[in-house]
Amino acid sequence: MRNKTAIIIGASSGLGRSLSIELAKSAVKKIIICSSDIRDLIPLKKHIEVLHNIDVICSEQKYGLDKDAVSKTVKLIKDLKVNLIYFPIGYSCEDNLANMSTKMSQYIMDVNYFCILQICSALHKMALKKQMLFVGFGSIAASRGRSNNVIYSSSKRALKSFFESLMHSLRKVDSYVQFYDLGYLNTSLAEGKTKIFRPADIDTIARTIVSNINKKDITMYLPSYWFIVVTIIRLIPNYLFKKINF
Amino acid sequence: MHFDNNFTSFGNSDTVKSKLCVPDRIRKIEKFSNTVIPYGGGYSYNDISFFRKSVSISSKKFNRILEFNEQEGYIEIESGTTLQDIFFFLKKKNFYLKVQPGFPLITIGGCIAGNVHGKNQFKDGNFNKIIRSIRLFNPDMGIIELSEYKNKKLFDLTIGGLGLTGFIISAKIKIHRLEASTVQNKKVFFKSIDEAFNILKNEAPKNDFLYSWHQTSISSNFKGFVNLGNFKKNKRNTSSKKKSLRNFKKRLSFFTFYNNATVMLIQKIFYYKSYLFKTYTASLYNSFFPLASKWLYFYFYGKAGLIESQFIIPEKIKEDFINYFESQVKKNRPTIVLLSIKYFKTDNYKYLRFDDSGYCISINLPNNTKNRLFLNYMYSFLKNNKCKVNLTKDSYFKHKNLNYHFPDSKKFFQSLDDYKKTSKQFLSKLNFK
Repeated sequence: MRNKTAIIIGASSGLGRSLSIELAKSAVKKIIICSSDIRDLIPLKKHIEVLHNIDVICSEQKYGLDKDAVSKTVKLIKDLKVNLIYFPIGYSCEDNLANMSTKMSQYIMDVNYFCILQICSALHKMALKKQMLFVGFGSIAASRGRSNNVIYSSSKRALKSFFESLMHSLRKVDSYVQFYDLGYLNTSLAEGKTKIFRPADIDTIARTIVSNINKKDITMYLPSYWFIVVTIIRLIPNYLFKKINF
Repeated sequence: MHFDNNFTSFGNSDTVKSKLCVPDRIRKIEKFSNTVIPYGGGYSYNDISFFRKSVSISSKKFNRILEFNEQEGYIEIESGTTLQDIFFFLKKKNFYLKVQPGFPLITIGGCIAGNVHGKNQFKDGNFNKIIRSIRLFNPDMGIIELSEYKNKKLFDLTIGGLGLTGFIISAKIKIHRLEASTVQNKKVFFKSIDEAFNILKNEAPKNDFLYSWHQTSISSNFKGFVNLGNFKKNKRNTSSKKKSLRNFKKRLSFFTFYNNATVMLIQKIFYYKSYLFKTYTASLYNSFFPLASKWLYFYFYGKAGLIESQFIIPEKIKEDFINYFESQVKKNRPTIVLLSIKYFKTDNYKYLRFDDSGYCISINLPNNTKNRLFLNYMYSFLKNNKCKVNLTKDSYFKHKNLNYHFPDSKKFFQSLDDYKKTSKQFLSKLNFK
C-alpha cells in the first residue's frame, strides 16, 4: 500500500470523502481527489494533510459538462502512475422519472456511467501491462426497475454490467476489479428520510472497502444484508411488484 | 434539499416544527431558499438556531480540521467541528483552546455566533479573544474572509451575531500551549451570596477555572463553595479518552424528579460530600466539559424540560440584586436546581454579545408555572437595571425586551441592513422583537 497512488473520482462528499480519508489512514503514498468543485476539494486536501501527513492533489473536473474532463483524468492517472482507481461518483435528482428531458437524462448517464466507462476503456491497455485496481459502485436502486429514480438506476445497472465485463477481460493479468452494490448510506441525501432500513455509516463502509484492497475481483453488497433484501425484491412476482408503490 | 424537523432547545423548553437542510458542499449552501438560519450542534437553551419562518442550515458535514500552525499558534477548523474533536486533536499536540463552554458537542460555529465564555472569563475573555479570522458565506457578498484587518465591521457583527450575518464556513482560532495533564481543584466554602461574590472577585485573577455552587433553599442562605481549578503537571495522566455521549435531550417521561424537597436533599448531600473532599484532581476532559457526564441531571427534569437563565449583574447593583433575589425566592418558592456564579470583566462590549463587567449568574429550574412566575419577577429587575442576558443560554428571555438588555441592538440590526441587498437573508426570532 505504501508505494501506491490512489485516485478518487467524486471525492467531495459522501462515500468519496470518507474513502479518501480511509485511504489516507492506510498510508498510500499519494491521493488524487477529483470533483466538480475545487472549493469542496481544498478543505478535504487540507484535512487529510493535517491529519495523515500525505501528499494530496486536487483536480476539478466537471464530468458530464466538460467534454475534456475524461481525457484530463486519464492523463493525470497515466502521468502520476496511479494504481488504485475508485469511482464513488454519482448524481441523481428528485424528478428522475421516465419522462425526463433528454439533456438531463444524458447528464445523469454521463456522470454515473459514460465517464467511468470512458476512463476505464482508456486505461484498459495500461491495465493489461501493470497491476491496477478499478473499483466501481452500484446501487440497490438498480436491482429492479421501478417508476422512481429511473435514469439513475438504469445507469447504475449498465455500470454493473460494464464492471462484470471489465473483470472478465482482466482475469488473466495482475490487474483486478471490484464492484460494490451500495445500500442506504448516511450521506446528506439520506437526511430526514424515513427508511425501513437504517442508513449505514459511510465511514464503516469506506473502512470495509479499503480493507478489501488486496482482494481480487469482488462483487458484493454493502452492507451485506442487502443481498438478501435485493434477492427477495427480485423474487417478487411481476403482478405483485406492480402494486408496490416505492 | 430540506426536510421537516422537530427542533427542541437543549432544555426541551422550546419546540418548533420547521425545516432543516444538511449541506455537504459549498454550492448547496449557496442554493438556499429565501430565509435561512445556521444550525450548529443544537445545544442552545434558546430557539436561536431554528425558526418557523426559516430553514435551518446544519453545519454537521462541515466538520474538518484544516490546518494546524504551531509557529503562529492557530488552528483552522470548519464550523461544524465539535469542541470534543478539537480537544482530542490539540491534546495530542499539547495545545488547547483557552475559551470553551462546558459541553463537548457544541460546534465552533456556535461558539463564534454566541461569543461564548469559558471557565474564567475574567482572565481569558470571551471567544472573540481567540478568533483570528472567519470565512463566511453571506448571500450578498459570497464567500468572504473576515478579520480585524479585513471586513472588520462584518467580523464584529458575526462574533456574537447569532448566525444573522451568514453561514460560517471555517475559522482560524488561536491556540495555547498546554503544559498540564490534569486540573487540581480546591473548594473554598462561603455562607452567603455576598461572600461568594467577594471570593470570586478576589480569586478570579489567580485561577484557571472558577465558579461557585450554591444551595438554594431559604434556610441554607445560599451557602456553598467556590471551586478554584488550576492546570497541573502530573505524572499520572488521568483518563481523557474520547467518549460516546448519550442523548442529552432525552428526558424522564411524564414528571420531573425535581421539587423543593428532593432538591434540598440532593444539595445537602452534595454540599457535605464536597466538604469532605475539598481538593481533588480531575482530568482535562472532565474539567473542560463538566456537563459531559451529567446526562442524568438533565434526564430528571422530565418531559417539560428545564429553564436556564443566565445574566450579568454589574458590580454596582450587586446588593440590590441579592436583596431582590432573596425576597423573590422567599415569596415564590421556586425550585432552583442549580445556582452558579462566575466573575466577568470586559472593556470591549459590542452589539448582542454577552459580555459585561460583573457577576454572571446561571440558574436552572424545572419548566413549570411556579418557576416561570419567579423568573417573570426576576426579569422585571433585569430589565429595569439593563442587565445583559445570554441570548444562547437563556431559555426564558423575551425577544421583545432586546433593546432594554442590549442598548446596541438597534445599531446591530441597522448595520446588518447595510449588507442586505437581496431578498435572501439570514433570519431568526430576534428579527421579530
